[in-house]
Parts: sequence; C-alpha cells; structure tokens
Amino acid sequence: MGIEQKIPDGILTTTVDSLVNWARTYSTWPVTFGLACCALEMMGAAMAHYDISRFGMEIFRASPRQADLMIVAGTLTKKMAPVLRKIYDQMPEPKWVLAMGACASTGGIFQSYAVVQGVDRIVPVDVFVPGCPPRPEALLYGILELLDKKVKRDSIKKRA
Amino acid sequence: MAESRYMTLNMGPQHPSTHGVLRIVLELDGERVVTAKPVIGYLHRGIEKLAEGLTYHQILPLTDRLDYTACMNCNLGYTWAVERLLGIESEIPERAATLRIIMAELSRIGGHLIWLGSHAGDIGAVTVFIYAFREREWIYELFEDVCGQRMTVSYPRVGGVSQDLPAGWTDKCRAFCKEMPKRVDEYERLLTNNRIWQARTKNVGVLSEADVYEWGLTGPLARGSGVEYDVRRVLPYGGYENYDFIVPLGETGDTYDRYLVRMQEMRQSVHIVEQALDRLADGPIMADIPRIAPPPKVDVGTKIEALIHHFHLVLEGFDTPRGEIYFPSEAPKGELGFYLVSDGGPKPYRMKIRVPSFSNLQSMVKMAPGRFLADMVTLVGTIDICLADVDK
Amino acid sequence: MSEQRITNEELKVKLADLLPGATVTSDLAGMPVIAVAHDAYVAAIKTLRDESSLQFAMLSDLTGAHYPGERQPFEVVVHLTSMHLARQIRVKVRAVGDPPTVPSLAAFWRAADWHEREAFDMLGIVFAGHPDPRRIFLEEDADFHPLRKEFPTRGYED
Repeated sequence: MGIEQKIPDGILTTTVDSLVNWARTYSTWPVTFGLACCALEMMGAAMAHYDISRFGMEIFRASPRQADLMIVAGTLTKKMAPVLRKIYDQMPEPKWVLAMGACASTGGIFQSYAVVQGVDRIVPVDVFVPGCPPRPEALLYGILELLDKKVKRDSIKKRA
Repeated sequence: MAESRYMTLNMGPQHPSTHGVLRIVLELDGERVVTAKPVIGYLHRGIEKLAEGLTYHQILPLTDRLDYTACMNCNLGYTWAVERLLGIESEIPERAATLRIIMAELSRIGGHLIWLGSHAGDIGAVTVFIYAFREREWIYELFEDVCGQRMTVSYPRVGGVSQDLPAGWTDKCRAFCKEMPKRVDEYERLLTNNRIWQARTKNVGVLSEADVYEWGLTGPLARGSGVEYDVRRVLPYGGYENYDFIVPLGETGDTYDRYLVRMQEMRQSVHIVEQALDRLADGPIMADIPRIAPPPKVDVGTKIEALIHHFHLVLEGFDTPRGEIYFPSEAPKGELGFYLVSDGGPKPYRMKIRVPSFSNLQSMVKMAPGRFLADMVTLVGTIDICLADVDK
Repeated sequence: MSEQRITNEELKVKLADLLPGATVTSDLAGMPVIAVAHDAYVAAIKTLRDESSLQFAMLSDLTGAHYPGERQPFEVVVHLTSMHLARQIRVKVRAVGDPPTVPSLAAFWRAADWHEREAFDMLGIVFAGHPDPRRIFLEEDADFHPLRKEFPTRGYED
C-alpha cells in the first residue's frame, strides 16, 4: 500500500529543475552566428533533409536577446572577435555555446595572423563539434550531447 | 562637430540577411538610404599568405574555403591555373577534363541554388529557401558519392581529378539532369510572375552597361546589364569551347533581370552536364607526368615505388618554371582569377586570388543611395556575395 | 559582341607602338606583359582603356607583390580585359620612394578603389590620390602589412 495508489491518474510529480530543464531542452533557440563554410552545413541541418525542427530548434533568432544557444559556425577572425564577445554578452542566462567545426574549435587549417586559434579564447564553450565542415548529422549529435549532458542536468540554483 | 540630419545605422556583421559577416554602415534619411558603406575583413583569414608557405598540392583545400557555395569551381580555377603555370594544359586526359566540366557545372547549379534560397528567403519567400536546399542536398549526394565530401570537396587535383566515378554515378547524374529543369520551373512558378516578387525586384539596383565597366563587375551582375562577359565564352578554357550553351543576358540591369539570368544559367548548366555525360569516355583520370601527378592510391598501398613516389610528392612537392601566369575562370559569382608568380620552387612566391565577390560588392556603393532600407537586403542578395570569397 | 581576331604577337607589336617607353614581353602562357615607368603609368592605363582598337575597359584585377632585395621592391600588377579583342593583358609598374608610392587609378576608375585599398592593407603600397586610403581587411589601427616577405604567417601575437 504505497503512496502511488493514493494518487489519482493524471498527476505528475517532478522537481522544479526537471520541469524547467525539460522545457529548455526541447526549445533551445540558437542565435544566427554563421561565420563561414560551416554555416552552410548548419543551414543544411536546419532544412528539410536533416530537420533540426525535430528538436524544437528551427527558430534561429537573429537577436541574441531571444536566444539560448550560440552555434559558432566558422572561422573567427581577430577583427570579428569583439563582435562575438558582444553577442555572447547580450544573450541572457542560461546560455550555451557550441563551437562547430575545426576553425571554431582550434583555428582549423588557418594558422595565420588574422585567425583566433579557437573560439574558447573568447567565450566559454560547452561542446566542440570537429569536422571541416561537420556533416549536419555530426552537428545534430553535438547538439544532442549538449542537450543531454548539460541542459538536462542544469539546475536553477547553480545559475542563480 | 556639425550635427548631421541623417541617422547612422549599422547593419551587421552579425545579421541574418548579410549572408555572412558583412557590415554595412548606412546613413538614412528616414527610410531612404543616403549612403551605404560596406565594411569587410571580418572573415579575412590570410589565405594568400598561407599559400606562400604551402606546396601547390597543399594549397588545394584552402581554395575550397573561398567561395564555399561552389567549392568545385574554386578548386578547378586553382588547378587549371597551376596547370597553365606548369605548361601541361594540353596533357590533361580527356576523361578528367570532361569530369571537371561536369563537376564545375553541378557546382554552379549548387551555388545558384544558395543564391536563390537566401535571396528569396530574405525578401520573404521562405518556401523557396527550403526548396532550393532540397536540390542542393541532391547535388551534395552526387559529390559525396564521387569523393566522399559533400561541400568542401578538393576533388580536382593538379593533373586531373583524384578519383574515378563509382558505378552507377552517371545514371544518378542523368536522373538529376532530367529532374532539375522541372524544379527550376517550380521556382519560376513561385516567383517570376509573382506580383510581390516583381514589386520587390523590378527597378531595384539598376546597373547600366557603363556601370559594369566603371566598377569592374563580372558574372551575372555584368550579364544582367547586357555585357556578354562570360569567361567560358570570351577566354575559353578546359574544353568549354566544345560545348553548346547560351549565355543569358539581361536588358535593364535590375534585380529582376539578374534573377532571370541566374535561373536561365541553371538550365544551361544542366544542358552542359548532359552534353558532358554523353561525351564521357573511358580513360585515365590523371595526367601521366610522374613529376607532378601522384600514383593511383591502390598502388601506393601495395608497391614500394609508388609509396616512395607519393611520399616525395607530399613532402617536397614539385618544382615549377620561373615566371608568372594569370588564369581567369567563370565561377558562379563572376570571374575567378589566379595570378601565380613562381620563383622555380615548389611553393608559390605570390598567389593573388582575384575573387568575384570582392569587386562585385563595390557596386553596393552605387546601387544603394536613394533606395529604401528594405531594399538593402535585396541588394545584398542580388550581388550574390560569399564573404569568404570577399575576404579571402 | 564584336571580336577581332589578333594573335598575341600582333598584339604585342601594337602595344609597343602605342606605348613608347614601355617594355612589352610575354609571360609563361604568352599573355602580353607591359612594364611601364612610374610616371607613364596612368597615361598608359588610360590609353589601353580608351583606344578604340584595344578597349581594355574591364579592370579584372589590381594587386601588388613584394620583391625584397631589388632596387624597387614593390610592384603593382594590373590585369585588363578587352571584350573587343577577347584578350587579357598585364601591366606592371614599380613603386618608388619610401613609403613605396604609385599613382592611384581609383581617382578616375572606381573599379580600382577596393583593389588599391587591399594592396595598401596587405603590402603597404601607397596609392597617391586615392579618394579613401584606408585599410580594408585588417583593423584600422593594425600596424603591419602581412604580405610583406619579412612578416611571419602566424603574425606576432597569438
């Protein structure tokens, strides 16, 4: 005779954290930050064939104030770096960063005077997705990893 | 400091409609644009400097990342240029030359599809964006079957192409060619006679023939104004002189004409691919010049001489004649040229890449004044830039 | 589009006639290359563009190159296209002085505008008379010219 028999049907028990995380996981909105070639594969992931909309992410917000996730897709140059930081700072908490591609992760094949050797020198990165460019499936895998490992396990208390 | 009565508005570099990291500083008089100054360099990666430290084989992947909407065309512009430098243009095997033309034209269609999707999508026709990517995925599948990469292919090599076609590829390509004109018809049904599309594109961004020469514009920007400058026709290369195709020209030089020119170019590219598939004969895919061309991969894994040969080429590259050349080719966006200066060694002394989007973007300064703010998005779309192509 | 059939050799003779004082040679692929003196540069470009039998009216490219160790180490290279002749040619001029200076074509030919800004940004060649002589790729306050041979590819700061 446990508590389960006392509760009528249609009642759900959870923690506030789980509820909030469930909402955030299935409606993470990315900000448009396609820089270079990886942006095309990111667009490919958003299109009908690979369909990021399955995960609730088809709305790429142009304004960082309305976005949760920044997918840095492409090479970050030193001229662009202050803009990246500004956009990151403009995003409200909770926010996550996914570095897509070799250039965003480590500078890629461009070891030159103009390229920042990895986006993590400018913003904290949660997930790195290697590839040049990564296939849309690879990007989706990286996003799912982010959702599983970080967003789902987040806690309001940590962020407050 | 004098107060200006115009408002300064910054557009970009993070903006959904600039197709990359382009910044435009606008001066506005209400809704009207007074001046528009593009600020570029946000994707300048130093490709020309990097190239001075790499062998000619190693530079090839860098060229993929120029105009990444049409990677094959950039690769081919580069390999044709190196072959002109080496003086081996006539030794490229027939099969390799035909395969190159097939890939170049498929890539041209792909590049125009991105243009169509983003241009129409920015103006408001978002459905076209999704449809265009549907076809582009088909082209990606064809490229992936051939060389394993969807987008940044690095398929052509100095002396030929890297791999032969897998079985059944020509049938898939023919199926694509049969279906593609119907898809282009579908886009035209959505846009060409659409009153909103016409209102947004007719008489917007008019460039006269004099403007084309004054601003050094090439590609559909020039052809939309009636200037018949298609490098494949004017300065033929790579076997294009043997193919039958029309160079579509516009009349008024506005956005609508350039749209029609590019749609027709997609159809012409399909026509060229069909002719090339008919011409495709068996044969080698790499020139028989051991000094330059790597041995077939299957030999590299089984024969020691081939392995050593491969090793030499990868580590040391090949020497080139002292001197210089300039090779222009017709990329989807305009004239893509490579100016190569060689000091005799395996690495270029100077490589200048004449990128079409760089020159074409200047025309923004001419087209923008007097237009509405909303037309800025139309203008960016009609110039058809790729920021990696502008900034190198 | 009217095209005149002319061989590279005939074109070279014609160019040498029209531009006395210029040296006309060929590059590795047979393209005519005209080397002009610094003070004959603008006039030569105007002649090539406006002469009705030539009509090199499309400025395909304008760039620079650095040859350290030579007396005049900086060179400006221009590629012109003629639809009339269906041909391209190359014009070269060496920059003089310190900073290395060359007259600007952008003053009368807008097509050269950004190309000259790029050559200034990458190599430090000054184009006298340019309407807007700013850097174009690097930041405004950058203090180096990356395509100079002494500049390392990775730059000085990481």
